[in-house]
Amino acid sequence: MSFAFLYEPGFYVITALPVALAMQAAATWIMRPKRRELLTLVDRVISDPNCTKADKAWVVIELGTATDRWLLCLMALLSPFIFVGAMIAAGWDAFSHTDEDNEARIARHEREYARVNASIVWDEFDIDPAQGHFWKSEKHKKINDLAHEIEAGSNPIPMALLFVWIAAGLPLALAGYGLARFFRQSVGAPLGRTREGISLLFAKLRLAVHALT
Amino acid sequence: MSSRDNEPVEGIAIWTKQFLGILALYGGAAFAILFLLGYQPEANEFFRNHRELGVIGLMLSYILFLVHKWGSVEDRIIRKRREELKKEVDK
Repeated sequence: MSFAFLYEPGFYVITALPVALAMQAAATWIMRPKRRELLTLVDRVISDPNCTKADKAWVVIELGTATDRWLLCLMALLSPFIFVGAMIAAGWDAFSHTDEDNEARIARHEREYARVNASIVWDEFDIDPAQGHFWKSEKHKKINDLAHEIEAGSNPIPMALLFVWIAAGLPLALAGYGLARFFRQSVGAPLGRTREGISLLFAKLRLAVHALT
Repeated sequence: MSSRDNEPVEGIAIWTKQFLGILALYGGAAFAILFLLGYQPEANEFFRNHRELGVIGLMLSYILFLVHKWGSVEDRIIRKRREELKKEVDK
């Protein structure tokens, strides 16, 4: 069997659309149970007698996430720049919190994530979602997780592109991780000690001022 | 899900219209060009040898698109529910 057709651009023109549609059709079918689950959960929240306008506002935002088709497309196109930006942000975050362990870091990021989510609802509707009865409930967490899962699962082509970029950038990311570890050990610890020393100095100064006054 | 969710949201005619839109988006009109090129005596050998593939690819794409639309009923219900809720919150 000859594989000469692989060198023909016409072959790729012929296969591109069916392959893209096959990926989309498969993703749609795989995501069906997730979408049903999301609808059931949303129905439970909005039919609850305790459901307030603030609850409905965050539900609208979560449903918007589940049906969004543009954000991931944009991310797939801009991913090389986004990854570099994310690495710089992660590096900055690691250096500005050198004394923090993993659990504290995750807890801080979760708080930040909840704050950003609340600000999205506030920007859209001028409503504070924290006033909602279900904002801090498990149902909200589940709906949020499902919405993001559906968003990723419903966009197989941008996701495939993102994975290609991740695979292409993996050597750079590993090198970056190695460098970050090296800097954290060689520069981060002395920096942390210096900061502790300065804090101690300030505490002593405060004590001295307090004693004098 | 409530009984109103069982209502058909859209029909085949609308899906076909959307498929034509997708063809334009993905450059799927290339299939038609391939097919037409295949009948030109001065065309590249590949196009002359594979002129039927354009039509097969087009038909396969349409079937896959219908499968996709059939499978995304819940997606359209989610969009409908979002619009309804948004109107309620905006009031």
